Amino acid sequence: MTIKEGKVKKTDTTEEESKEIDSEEPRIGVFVCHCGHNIAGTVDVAKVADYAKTLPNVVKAEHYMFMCSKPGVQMVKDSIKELGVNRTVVASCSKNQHGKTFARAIEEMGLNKHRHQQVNVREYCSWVHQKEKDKANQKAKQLVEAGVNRARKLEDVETRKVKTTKAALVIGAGIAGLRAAHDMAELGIPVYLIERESTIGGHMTRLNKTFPTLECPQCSISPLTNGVANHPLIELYTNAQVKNIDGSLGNFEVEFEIKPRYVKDNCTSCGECAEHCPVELPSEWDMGMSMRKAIYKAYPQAIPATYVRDKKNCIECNTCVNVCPVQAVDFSMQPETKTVKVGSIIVAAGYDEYDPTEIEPYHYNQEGYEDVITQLKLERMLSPTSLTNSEVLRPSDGKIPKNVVMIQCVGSRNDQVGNQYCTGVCCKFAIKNARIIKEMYPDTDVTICYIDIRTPGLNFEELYKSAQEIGVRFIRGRPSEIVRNPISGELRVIVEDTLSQTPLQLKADLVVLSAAMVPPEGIGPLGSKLHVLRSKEGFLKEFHIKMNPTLSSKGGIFLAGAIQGPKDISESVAHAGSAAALAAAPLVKGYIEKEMLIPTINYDLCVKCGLCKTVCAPAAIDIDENGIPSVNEVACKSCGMCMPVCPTGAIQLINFKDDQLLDEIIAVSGGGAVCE
Amino acid sequence: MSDCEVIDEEIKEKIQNVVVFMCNECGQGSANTAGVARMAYEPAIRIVRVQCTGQIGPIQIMDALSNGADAVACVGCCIGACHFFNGNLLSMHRIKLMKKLFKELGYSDQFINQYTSRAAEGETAVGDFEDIVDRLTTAIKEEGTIKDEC
Repeated sequence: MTIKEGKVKKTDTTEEESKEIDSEEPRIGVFVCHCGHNIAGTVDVAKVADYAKTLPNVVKAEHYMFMCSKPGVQMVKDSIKELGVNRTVVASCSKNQHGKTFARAIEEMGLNKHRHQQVNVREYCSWVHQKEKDKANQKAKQLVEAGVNRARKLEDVETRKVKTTKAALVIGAGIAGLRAAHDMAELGIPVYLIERESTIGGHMTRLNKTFPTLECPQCSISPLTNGVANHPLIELYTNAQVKNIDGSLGNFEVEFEIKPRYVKDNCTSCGECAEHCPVELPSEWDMGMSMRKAIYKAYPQAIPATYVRDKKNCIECNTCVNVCPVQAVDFSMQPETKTVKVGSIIVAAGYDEYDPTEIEPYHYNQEGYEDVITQLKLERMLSPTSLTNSEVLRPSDGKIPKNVVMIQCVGSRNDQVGNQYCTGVCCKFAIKNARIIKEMYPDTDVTICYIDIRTPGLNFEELYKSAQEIGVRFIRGRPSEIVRNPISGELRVIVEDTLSQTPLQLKADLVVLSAAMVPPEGIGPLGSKLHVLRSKEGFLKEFHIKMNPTLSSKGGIFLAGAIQGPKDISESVAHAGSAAALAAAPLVKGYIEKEMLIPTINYDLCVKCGLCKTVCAPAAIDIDENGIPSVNEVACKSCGMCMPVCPTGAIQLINFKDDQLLDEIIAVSGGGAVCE
Repeated sequence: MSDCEVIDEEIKEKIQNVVVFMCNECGQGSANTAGVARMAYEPAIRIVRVQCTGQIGPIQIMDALSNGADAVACVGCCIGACHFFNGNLLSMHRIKLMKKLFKELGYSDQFINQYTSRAAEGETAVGDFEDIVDRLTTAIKEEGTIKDEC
C-alpha cells in the first residue's frame, strides 16, 4: 500500500558512507550556547563544556556566544567534517525554537536529522533559576549529560513519501456535507457523496426561515444541492450506508451498501404513482405534519427527483407499476454493494433533534398533549409547503393558538438527561420563531421561558431586541411541568419567574419545546467502522478543540458540521469548508511526507495479547488472523502509548525505546551525575 | 518518624532530583512559556521530553526512582485536550494504580504524581512543580521515608 521512495531530501552521503557511520562508535559533539547573557549570565558555560568533555564518546565540547548564528552553525558543521562527529548535542534553547536549525545543519552534512539532540538549558534552567546559580550549574551539567546519553543511542529515522489516492468520500449530504463535497470537487478531486436518506439537503431544507436575516433556506441551499447533483466530479449515492472502512490517511478502501429505490433513473417525477398509491402514512421528512404515500418523493424540490418506494409499508398492489407512463417502477431491484478507493474521508453525518419523550413532566408525545410540539415541527408548520398553508394551528383542534409558550433548554443544559452542553442555537431559533408568530398573529401572546438567553454573534442581539420590541414576553425560569385540565383539556405551563421570584401558571394553547441537538442515530456503529473516537456527549471527537477542530482522532478522516458538536448553519458551512481544504491538501499534492517515527515490534518477545491495539487511538495497529500485530506506518502518530501496555516490552517506539530513555533518566535522576 | 523538629526549607534543600516527564505538546509548551516569563521554580526539577505521558510506564518511573530521583511526575495536556487523544488519561490511570502499589509496599504515594498543564500558561507548569515539591516535603516530614537523618 505504501510506496517507498527513499529519503525526501537528497543527502551528500552515499549509502555506503552512512552504513559506515552506523558501524562506527558514537562520536558526539557538544556545543553549549551562551545566548548572550541569557544562559551565560546564570550558568558557567565553560565549566559545563569542560564537564561534557569528560563524558564517554564526547569528541568535542565547545561553548560559543550564539550557536544559532551562522558561525555557530558552521562550528557544528565543521566538527562533522573534521572530527567525524556523528551525533550532535546543542545545549541552548528549546527544540521548537532552534532544534530545527541544527537538525537541518547536520542533514546538510549528510547525517540523519534525528541524530541531533537539543538540550534546553535556557527555558528549563538559566531563565528560571537566575537566583540559584550553583544549583543551576549542577542542573545544566546534568541536563547536558542526559542529552549526551540520549544522543549516544539515537537511531536514524527515515522520511518517506506515501502516494495518496486522488478521490474523497463524504458521508452525509446535509449542508455541511454538500459544502465540503462541492469545495473539494472544485479543487479537482473526484468525490463520492453518500447519504442515508433518499434526498439530499438534510435539516436545512426543512426549515422555514433562517436566522438572523429571516431568509428562505430552500432558496439558499438549492444552488448548492443542484450544483452537487450536477457536478461532473461528484458521484452521489442516496439510500446508502457505510459498511466497512479499511486503510489510513491517503489510502482508504470504503465499502458501502446502496438500498434500492425500486424506481429507475428514467423517472420523470410526474407523480402518477403517488397519486394512485392506496397507502398513506405520516411523512417523516415533514415531522408527521403531512401525509405521504408508500411510493413518494419527500418534498417537491427533493433532489434526486426520482420517487422512492417504501418497501416496508408497500402492500404490493402493483398499481404504481401499471400507472407509470415510463415504466420506471421496478420491484425487482436489489441492494448493491460498492467499494471505492479514496484518500480522505469527511464525516458530515449531522445531528438529530432531541426526543423530549423522556422528560416526563412535559408529556411530549402523550395522549391529550398533542399541542406540545418541538421547534422543528413548528418550522414545518410555518414552511410554505406545509399542510396548514403556513398557518400555526393547534394539532388538537386546528385553531390558531391565542397563547404560545416556548420552553428553552429541553435536553440541553440538563444533567438529568445527561446533556450538560448548551446547544447554542435554540435561543436564536426560538426568538426567530416567536417573532414570526407574533408578526403573523399580533393578538397571540408569545412567551419564551429561558434559563439564559444566549445570542452571541453579529446581528443576533438585534434579533433578540426586535423580538422584545414586538412584544414577545421573556420569562427567566425553567418550567417544572406542563399540566392539563382533564375536563377542558387546557394546558398550563408551571414556571417560576426567577427574576421577580413569582410562581406562574401560564395558559398555553400551544407549547413549543426547543429541543437540543444530539448525535444522530447510528453514530455509534459508524464511529466504530471509522475507528474514530467520540466525545462523552456522543459526537465525534475533534483532534484538538482549538488548533484542529476539523480533523478527527484518525489522520485522513475529517469532521464537518454538527457531527463534531452543535452548530448553526453558518458555523457548519465554515467548518465544512475548513474540512474540505484540509482533506484536499494531501490529495492535491499527491503524496504525504511521513517521518517513520514509529514503533517496531520484536516478534520474538510478542505474546500476541493484542493490548497494543486496544490503546492505539489512531487505530494504527493491525492484528492479522494469527493474532500477530503489525504497525501501520502511515496511520501511526508516534505517541508511544503502546509501549507501557506491552507486557514483554516487545513494542518499542524508535528513539524513545526503554533503554534509550533509561540512559537519559539515569543522568537526570542523579545516578550518573558527578556531584561537586 | 523522628522526634526532632524538621523545617520545610531544610527538606526542600535536600530534594535534588525530581524527574518530570513532560509531553511534547502542552507539557513542553507550558515549561517553555514559564521559562520565557522567567517564572522561578525549584532547581531540583529535571524535565525529560517524551512524546506523550501515555508513553511513560512503570519501567520509566521505577528507573528514575532507583537511580536516585526523589520523586517522579508526569505532566500532560489537560483532560480532554490530549493531542494524541487519551494518553494523559491512560497515564493518570496508571499512576493511580502505582500509587496504590506504593502504599501497599509501605512507601508514600507522593513519590509519583500526574499533572496537567496548558501550553499557553506557564503558571500551570510552575504550579505543578511547586505542588510536586510541596507534596514531597509534606510526605517526607510526616512519614519520614527518605533522607531521614535529623
